Amino acid sequence: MITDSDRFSYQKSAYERPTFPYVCGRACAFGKPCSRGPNFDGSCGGTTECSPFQNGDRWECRRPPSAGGPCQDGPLPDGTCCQSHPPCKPRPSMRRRRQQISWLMAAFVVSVIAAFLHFTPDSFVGEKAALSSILPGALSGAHSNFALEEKGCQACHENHGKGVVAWANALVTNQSVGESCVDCHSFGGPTMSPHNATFTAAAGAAFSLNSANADTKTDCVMCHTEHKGEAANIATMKDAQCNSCHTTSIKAFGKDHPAFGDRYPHDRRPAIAFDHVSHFAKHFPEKLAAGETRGCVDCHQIEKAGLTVPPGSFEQNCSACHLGGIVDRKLAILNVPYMEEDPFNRDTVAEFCAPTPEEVELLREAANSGELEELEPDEYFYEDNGDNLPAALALALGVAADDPDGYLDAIGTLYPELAETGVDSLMSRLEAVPGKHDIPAMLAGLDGELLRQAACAWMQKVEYESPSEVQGGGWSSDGLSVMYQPNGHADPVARAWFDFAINAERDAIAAEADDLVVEQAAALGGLLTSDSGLGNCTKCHAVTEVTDKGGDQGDTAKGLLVEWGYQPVNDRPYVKYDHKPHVNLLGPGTLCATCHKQNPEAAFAASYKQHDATNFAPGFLPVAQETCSQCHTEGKVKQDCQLCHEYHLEPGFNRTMGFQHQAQSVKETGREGG
Amino acid sequence: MRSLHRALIFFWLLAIGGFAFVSWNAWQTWLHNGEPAIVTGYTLAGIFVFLALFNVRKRLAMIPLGRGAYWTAAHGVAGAFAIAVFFVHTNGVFWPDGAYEQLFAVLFYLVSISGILGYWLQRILPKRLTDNGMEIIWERIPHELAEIREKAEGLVEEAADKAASDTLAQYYVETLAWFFRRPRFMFSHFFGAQSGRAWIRREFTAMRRYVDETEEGYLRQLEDLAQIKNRLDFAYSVNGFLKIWLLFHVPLAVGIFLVMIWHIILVHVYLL
Repeated sequence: MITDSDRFSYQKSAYERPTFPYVCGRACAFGKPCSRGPNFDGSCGGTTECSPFQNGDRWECRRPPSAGGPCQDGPLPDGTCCQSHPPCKPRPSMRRRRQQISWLMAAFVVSVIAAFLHFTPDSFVGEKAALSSILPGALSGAHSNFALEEKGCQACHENHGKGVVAWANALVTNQSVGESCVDCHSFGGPTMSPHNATFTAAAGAAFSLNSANADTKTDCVMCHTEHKGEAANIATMKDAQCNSCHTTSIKAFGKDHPAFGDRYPHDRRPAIAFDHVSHFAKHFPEKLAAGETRGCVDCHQIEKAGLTVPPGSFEQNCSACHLGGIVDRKLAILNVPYMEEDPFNRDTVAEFCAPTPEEVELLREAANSGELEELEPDEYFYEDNGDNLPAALALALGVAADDPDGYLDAIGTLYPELAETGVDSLMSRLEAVPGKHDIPAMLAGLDGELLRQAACAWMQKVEYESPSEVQGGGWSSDGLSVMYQPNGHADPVARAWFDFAINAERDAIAAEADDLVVEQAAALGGLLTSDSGLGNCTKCHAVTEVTDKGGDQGDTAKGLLVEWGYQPVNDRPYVKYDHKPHVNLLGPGTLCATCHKQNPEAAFAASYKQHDATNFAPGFLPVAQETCSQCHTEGKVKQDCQLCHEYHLEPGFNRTMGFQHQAQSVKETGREGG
Repeated sequence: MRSLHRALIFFWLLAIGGFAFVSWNAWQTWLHNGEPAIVTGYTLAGIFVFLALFNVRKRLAMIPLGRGAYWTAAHGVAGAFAIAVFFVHTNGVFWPDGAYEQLFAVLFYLVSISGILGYWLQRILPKRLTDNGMEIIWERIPHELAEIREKAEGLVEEAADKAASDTLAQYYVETLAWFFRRPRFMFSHFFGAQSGRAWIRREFTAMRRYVDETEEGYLRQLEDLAQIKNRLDFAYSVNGFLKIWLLFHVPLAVGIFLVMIWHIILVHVYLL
């Protein structure tokens, strides 16, 4: 017993075997266990007290001393033990039970994985997708619908659903999940480069990068980890990550952020040459009634405040003063040219043109009197009424506008053609001019009858008399010329002439045209961009030299562009800003000047005399970093890098609504067919 | 004992150093827009393998693989290390979104809780067993109980013969047989209460009034046996809990090991 200090003697105690898979059933019921214990297979080993041993011809009892030693009766003659007991039901040992439960757990886990493996995420949409045993979590809201409904998991994981071999292959090969992102997402530079840009030493001068990091190949999944739930933000980035690459480490915006540039926030001039200083200091006081004032929000639409606070339309803000300056600037394309001799064949003129009123009167008188007299036209008509050719016509004919001998033959050919065919002969000559022109737009609304009658009148040496007086703008004639007058702001014909003429000289040079053509092209461009040019468009719309990346010549193809319409200047693609909360914070229209202070010293208007948009003097003093850090500083408003900076360059989408529509159509067709 | 203490300090330093390195590495990887979960994940997998080796070590007692006490200490420290690395790996997310990752998390938390519970049991229960003053193999306790019961019943029979009275026999049949039949007051013993001892004192004090001098001698011997049985019950209870917690811990660990393998496969097939 336990009180016996010698109880573990081999003569008193059976050997305990804790690792044995079964224990005696009697012991489990807290009865006296037999000395032999259960067998390894779980059967009772104690139905007899020993297994007798045959020693020669005698059977000897083998009961161990701990169980009382050899019994008095000894084995039976057949060699069996004389002490038999009913068998017990051995039970698994603790270790055995642990093993059994472990196997059960393993079976459970494998079963659960296998069961839910059958339900691939493709089978589910939304919340149910999370049940799949291969899905670590639901996709974010932005990706959940199209990814699962269109391509399923293969939208990003190309080996999904391709069988065991593809799985095994994928297990040992690198995956390229991030590459599929660009199926939908687009950027303004290399996808797999930091900030979608190729950095140079010059680019990093002010805010340099470690060269090693700048060259690092990035991957979308480095930062954007999916399957974190529908509401997860997968585009988070911390300041520390920015600082790990940028050598100019910024602990706090207010302390060590580099100063803003001298012209912050813009490095290029606006598309519209609106001089705030002169308007506020001079024009508004002159034009407005006494006591009337103009503030920022009278022109800028704060309800649309975002990166910029866009101004209202021309009609809302400018037309009251500037409309007259547009519609009174005309462009002549035909006229009575100065000529010292008549280049026209009378018979041809008579063939194409009806008799003039004078000729009709003369014929009537002849009929009455019986005598036919010849009408003598004005011999000095072209010398008395003629003028230099219009620049547009000179360019179309490829002659000098002020050289009557030079253009005599060309006029002698053109005008009869005009009398015969109307617009077509003019169009064909304009089309022959090198350059990008939209002739139908340039001559839109031009009535061939007007051309025909004007040409006839002039060939018959009389002024053209318009049958009715033209109201408003459009094509018209004053008797000695045919001209175009804009109907108002944003006139499409005027715009087409500008778009053609602004690059006409460069295009002519590029086409190796005759010097005379180049000169006339330059003259036309000069005329249009002058103060007396058609519509006076370039008084406000900047003419800017741009690179036509889409052109045949790649990045080297430069051209001039008339910047039609207001375009928000976004020359800092990595900077983002939202005016709206600031406007609301400061008070609408009252405190814009907190940040935007006019600079009367700047030669703002002068910068529009040339074509380099970056060479300009802003009409406002630069917004200083200190202005922002008054609020965006420790203990006040947050100052995270990503509050004002974008990581990606010009992020956008490759997919279009058309694609969606197409996909939807396919699906619907499938439904109907299936 | 001192060497074990030194080993424990060494293991903790190793774990803290390892954790500091893994955390630093994860931080640096994250800073440079890398995927820190790769390093932390494989570190965690390595820790799981090491933790599983403890079970193998127990089965391979014949091979000199270091003292079991060292392994136990290292197992506990590695478990704590695993919990810390787990949360670095999940980036502090306690409850994941996907079903199989939720299964992974549940298993991990249960393994961790059972591990912490087991560690706590192993820290406090052996000391209480020592205080009990009775050293015995847990598997042998039923045998000892049977012997005590046999002896008690022998005493009762002898008392009936000597005193020519069945008072003690009736008392045994009605009251003490229940106590000697099997271990009693298991939870009371585990939580350190003295229900068993109180029961013995109450029952034997009550009985003492009804026995004569001859029977009282036997009653004292029976009380001594009851006290011994009560201590055996304590050993059975406490030692039993030291074994029973493994019925949870080990199977859960097996489960988490399988889910971990599945997780690694998925990560390689779908991401890396």
